[in-house]
Amino acid sequence: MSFEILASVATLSNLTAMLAGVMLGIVGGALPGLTATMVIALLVPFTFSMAPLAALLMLCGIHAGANYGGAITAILLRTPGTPAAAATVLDGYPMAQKGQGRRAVELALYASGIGGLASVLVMIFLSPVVSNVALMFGPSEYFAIGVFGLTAIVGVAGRSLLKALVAAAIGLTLTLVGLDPVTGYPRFTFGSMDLLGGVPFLAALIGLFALPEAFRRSARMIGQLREEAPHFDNSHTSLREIGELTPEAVKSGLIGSAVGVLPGAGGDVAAFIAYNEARRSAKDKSQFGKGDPRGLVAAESANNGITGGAMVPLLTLGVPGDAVTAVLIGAFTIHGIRPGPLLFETHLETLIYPLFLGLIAINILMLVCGFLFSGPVAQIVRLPRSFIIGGVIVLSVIGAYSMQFSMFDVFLMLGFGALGYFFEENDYPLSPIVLAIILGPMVETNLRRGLAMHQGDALAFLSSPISLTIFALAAVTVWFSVRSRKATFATTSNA
Amino acid sequence: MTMMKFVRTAGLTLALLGTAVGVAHAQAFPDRSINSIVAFGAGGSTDVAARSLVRFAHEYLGQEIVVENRTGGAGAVGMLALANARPDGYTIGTVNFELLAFRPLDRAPSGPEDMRFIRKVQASPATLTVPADAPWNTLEEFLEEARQNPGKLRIAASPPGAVWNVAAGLITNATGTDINVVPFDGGAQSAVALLGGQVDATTISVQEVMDHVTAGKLKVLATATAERHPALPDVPTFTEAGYDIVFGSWAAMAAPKDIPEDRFQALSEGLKKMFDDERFQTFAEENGITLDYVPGDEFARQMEAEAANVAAVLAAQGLTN
Repeated sequence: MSFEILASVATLSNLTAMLAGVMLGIVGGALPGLTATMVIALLVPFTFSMAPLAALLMLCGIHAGANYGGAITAILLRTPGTPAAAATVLDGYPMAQKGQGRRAVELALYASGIGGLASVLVMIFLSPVVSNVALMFGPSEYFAIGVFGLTAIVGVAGRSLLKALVAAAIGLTLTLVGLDPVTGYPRFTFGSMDLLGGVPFLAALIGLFALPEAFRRSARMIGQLREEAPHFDNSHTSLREIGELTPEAVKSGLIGSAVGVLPGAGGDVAAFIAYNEARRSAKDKSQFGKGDPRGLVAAESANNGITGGAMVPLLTLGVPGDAVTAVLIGAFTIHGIRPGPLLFETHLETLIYPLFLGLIAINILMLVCGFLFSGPVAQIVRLPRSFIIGGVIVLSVIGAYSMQFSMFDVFLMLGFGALGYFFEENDYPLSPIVLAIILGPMVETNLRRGLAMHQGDALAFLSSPISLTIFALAAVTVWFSVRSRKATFATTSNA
Repeated sequence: MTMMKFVRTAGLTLALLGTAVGVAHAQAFPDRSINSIVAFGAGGSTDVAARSLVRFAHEYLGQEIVVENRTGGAGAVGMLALANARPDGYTIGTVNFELLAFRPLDRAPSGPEDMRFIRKVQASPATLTVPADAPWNTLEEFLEEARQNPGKLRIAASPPGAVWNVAAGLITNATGTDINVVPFDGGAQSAVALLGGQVDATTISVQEVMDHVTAGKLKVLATATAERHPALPDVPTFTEAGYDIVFGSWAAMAAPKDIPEDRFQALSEGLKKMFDDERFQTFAEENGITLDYVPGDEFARQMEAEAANVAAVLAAQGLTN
């Protein structure tokens, strides 16, 4: 890489574009209902008049910023701003409840930056190699990945494994709604057009996580119950803590990159897989789900790890790695650049290298911007609780509506809110439902696609060394998780 | 107060001006921006073509055309929304091949008869594409292998009822072969499955395989076009090989059926100019979008025949009730 390439990136217009992208991404990601995909889709027309490189850098900035932004509301309000922030709720919100909101937001930022940088490095040095690996993944391998992801249910189960499995079964059942992926026939849509596209995931996610908490707090308000004055600790995270969590962040960033490389698996999947791995490798698992910074860092680093990983199949094969890169392909095309196998030959010095450098700069800009944001934004939780409850409900309704401009989705979201409330009151965990909704379609489609390919021969799923390895990993994970559950809950019941 | 008076006079003048402008515009259509519904996600091939076509709308219509993505139900949600929109010319949209399959598949109560086609814009002809290192170099060699090993070869295509699956159905029907059609999620995923050796062939469009052909990874055995495709002059058509298959996806601009004639004409003229715009033509050429200009009413007649054809294929595949 020569000096001229650096100079071509470090122009004022490029830097402004990146900065604007990162900030718009953070704000958009934080608002439920505006996902990274939607912010990019909304802003593509505004990039028409920009130079291609500046436009692409701005859009990549949004991608990075939104993946972090989603964590802010997930941590402070238990309202995941994007699907990728679903796993962030698990330990992020409990941290905020303990008064460590600012620390949690800062850790999420730091993890996002590390995850993003790790994935950019993977992209720069391994793109050609990694894209060949992606081609080796067929239906059996994707099915295996899906099953492996589902083993995280044991990790997020809470006290009762049975209740977690019930929740997961409900989630899997919900994914049956919509067009059958193999025969194309409408299933469980009750003749309604609204359900033809399946249960909208973000509406379910917002309903399940955000509303029950708002309901509970309003119930306490109406009952004139005094809420304990929320303890608020405005302190920063420390350099020492950052140092301790760095290995976790790097590992999760690499997991995120790996998942991102696979077309068809996005940040939501990556975050849960990394979360589960963090929990598996931790010696003391007792704090996971109750505000363990390692869980938060794993989820956030992994969902930003997607940003570089998903660019690999985009740039080398012309195939999007996730929903966001699917929109990016369109943006590239509009600017006269066709991603695909010829891009590395035709645009190496004019586009690929500058893009690599730009992505590094974007992650650094995100760390700086986010650091300035995180202090003021963490003060949200000090607002009077009526403001917070009202705000969360309004944001939830707008969020559910704006995905498809559909009132049906709003009612569905409210229904999920009621379901979530009922579940939590009866000690059923919500994460298995979310995990099942994320992974259900991947598991089902690839199972049936694989069976169709091999004319019903189920043993064909074990014929590839990659899928065999992943199945073995899944089995080992379940075995360890169940064993560690016994140990954890044996000690707590003695205490 | 002079100040007050000034403000009042200024306000009155502005109000009058506003009325005058309003009156002038009331006669002209359009006097505000027009919505264009795209039934597939932002950034997909349908969306990109739709956005690039209307990018310079203000130069020809004096107003912007704003693209709105209404996704869901494999295009059913957006196209039904277009059919049911107020027919005042301010809602138009892109309709695709899938429109022909909604009624036969019982997916949505909407079809070509609910639309007024403004013009056909784009054609994406189907192909039969195999890996570059595959042992077959002609369509006949591939079919010979399929005849000798019924059910063994695999074709990656879209899910049943969607365009590339219908294409695969047409090919197996016309050639009398038994090939295992495996549903993937559309063109890009089918290309990856073929590149990764999960399947033996795919039916996806010229546009979707072209880069991989140039890169030396894939080769096209036949195109489902009436004449040889300009980008692939050495590749024969199915018709040349004796199989009557001319098929592919398409995109057309359409409005709700009852749009007033004068507004229809205004849109039709405006869109023709946008289509002929050099910038759009260049863009399409550079991005492998095969443009196909057919005026709306002529296209509607073509679609009557095509709809019956598609319904027959879907019935033969056992997808209809």
